[in-house]
Amino acid sequence: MKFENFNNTKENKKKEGVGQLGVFEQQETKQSLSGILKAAFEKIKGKCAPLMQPESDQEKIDSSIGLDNNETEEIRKELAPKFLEIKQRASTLENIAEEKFGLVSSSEDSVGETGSLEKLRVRMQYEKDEREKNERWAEQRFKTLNVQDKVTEGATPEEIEEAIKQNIPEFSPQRKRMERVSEKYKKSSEAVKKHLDKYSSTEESFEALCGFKANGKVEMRHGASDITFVVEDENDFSRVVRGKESLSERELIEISWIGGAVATNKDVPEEFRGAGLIVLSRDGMEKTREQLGDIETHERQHVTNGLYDGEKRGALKYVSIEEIKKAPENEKREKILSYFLYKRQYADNNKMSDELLAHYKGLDFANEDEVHKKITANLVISYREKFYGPTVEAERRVLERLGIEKSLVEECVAEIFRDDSWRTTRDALEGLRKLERSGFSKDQAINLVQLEPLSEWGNVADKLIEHKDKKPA
Amino acid sequence: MKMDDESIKQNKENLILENVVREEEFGLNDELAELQADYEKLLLEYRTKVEEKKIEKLRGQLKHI
Repeated sequence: MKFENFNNTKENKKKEGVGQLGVFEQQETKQSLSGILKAAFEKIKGKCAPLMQPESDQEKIDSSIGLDNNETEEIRKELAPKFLEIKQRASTLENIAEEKFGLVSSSEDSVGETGSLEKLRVRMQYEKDEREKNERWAEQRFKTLNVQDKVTEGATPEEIEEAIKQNIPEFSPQRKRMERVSEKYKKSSEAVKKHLDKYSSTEESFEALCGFKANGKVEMRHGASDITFVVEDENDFSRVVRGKESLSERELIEISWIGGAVATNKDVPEEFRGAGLIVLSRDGMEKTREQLGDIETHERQHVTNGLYDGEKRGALKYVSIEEIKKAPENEKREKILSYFLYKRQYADNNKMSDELLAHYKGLDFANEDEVHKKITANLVISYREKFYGPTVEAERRVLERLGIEKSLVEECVAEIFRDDSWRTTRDALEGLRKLERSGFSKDQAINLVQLEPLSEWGNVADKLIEHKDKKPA
Repeated sequence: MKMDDESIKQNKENLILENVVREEEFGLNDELAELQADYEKLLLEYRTKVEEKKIEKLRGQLKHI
C-alpha cells in the first residue's frame, strides 16, 4: 500500500490548490499515526524508567529527612522485594509497550512503504477482533451465569427453564448445555419432592433411600435437589458408603478417614444414586459442628457438579497410536506427550475438576497460600493414583507393545500425569481464586468454570475478569 | 490531484488503526497508573520507616544531652 501524497507537506498542497479536507486527513493520519505510536511508546517508557530505579527517589527521601545511605540501608533491604516487584511489573509493561508500539522505525516511517505499519495494522486489528470476540463471549457467559446462580440458589425447575429462555439464545451451544443441566436438576428436584411427600419421618426416609433401618440416631435435611443424612453410628455410615454390612479391617480404617460421601451403592434408588443422597458421619473423626459443615458443603458441591457432568469439553487434538508409530525417533516424545495429555483429559474434566471444586467450596480461605498448597498437594498426590492409575497402566502396556523404550514412556508418564497435572491443577485453582479476588462470589467463580475444561480455567478467569464490565449489575 | 478510491480506503484504514492505537495506549495507561499508585504507596512506606528511624536517632541523641 502506498501513500501517493505522502511527501507533500500541508503547505505544498495548499499552494497546489488541493486544499480538500480529505487530502489533509490522509497526510495527517499517516504522520500522526507514526507520531502516536512513538509517543505512546516513549510515554510508557519514560514513566516506567523511574519505577525501575527507585534509588534516586529513596535518596531524595533520605536527604529530605536528614539521614544518609548507610543509615537507611536496613530499610532498603527490608523493602527490596517490594521494590523488585514494582521493577518487574514496570519492565513487563515496557516490554508490552515496545511490542505494541515500537515496531515502526523512523526510516520506514519516512518512506511511504508501509511494510511494518501494515504488519502492525493487521496485528492490531486481529487483537481488536479477538477482544471484541472475547467481549461478546464474556457477555453471553455472564448471562449464562444468571441461570447458574438460580441453580445454586435452589430455584424451582420452572424458574430455571424460564431463566434459560430469557438469558441464552436458542441454538447456541451454551443453551444446549444448560438445558441438559436443567433437565438433570428437574429430575433430582422432582425425586426429592416426591420422596418428601411420601415419607414423613426421618427413619422411614433413611430406610427407603439407604435400604436398611438405621441403628443410631439420624438427622435429615434437604436442599432443592439433594437429601442429606447425618448419622451417629459408624456402621450405619459405612454401610451406606460401601453398600455392605461387614467391612475388612482395611476398609474400616479407610472409612474412618471419610467424613461424608455422595452415596453410590446399589441399594440407593436409581434417581438418587451418585446424584442427590449425601451421608455424613458425626462420629468417625470426632468432628466439630464447623468441620461437619465444611464436609457437608464439600459433598453438596459434588452433587451440584454432577449436574454439569460431561459438559466440560476438552479441546485437545486426538493423537492416535498410528501417529506415534509412524513418527520419526526425534518426534516420538512429543507425540507420546500429546497422546497422554489427550488421555488425561477425561479424568481432569470429570474427576479432578469435581474434587477441586468440592474442596474449593468446602474450605475456608483465611490463609490463602496454605489452602492453595494444601488443595493442590492433596488433589494431585492423593487422587493421582485413583484418577489416572488405570489409564496409565493401560497406556503403558499399549506403548510397550509398540516397542517404545520403557524409559521414554516413564519419562512421559511423569511429565504428563505428575508434573503437568500439578501445574494444571495449580493454575485452575489460581483461576478460581482470581475470580473471587476480583469480586465474584465463591459460587459464581465455581459456576463460571463449570462449563470449561480444567486446563482452561486460568485463561477463562483472565478473559472474564478483563470483560467484567459486561456483567449485568 | 484527486483522492482516488484506494487512497480513501487507505485513509479510512489508518483512522481505524489510529483508534486502535489510542485504545491500546489507553489500556496500558490504566495499568501504568495502577503501577505508579503502588509505587507511590511503597515510597510512602519507605518514607514512614525512614522517619521512624530518624525519630529513633533523635531520641538517642536527646538521651545523651
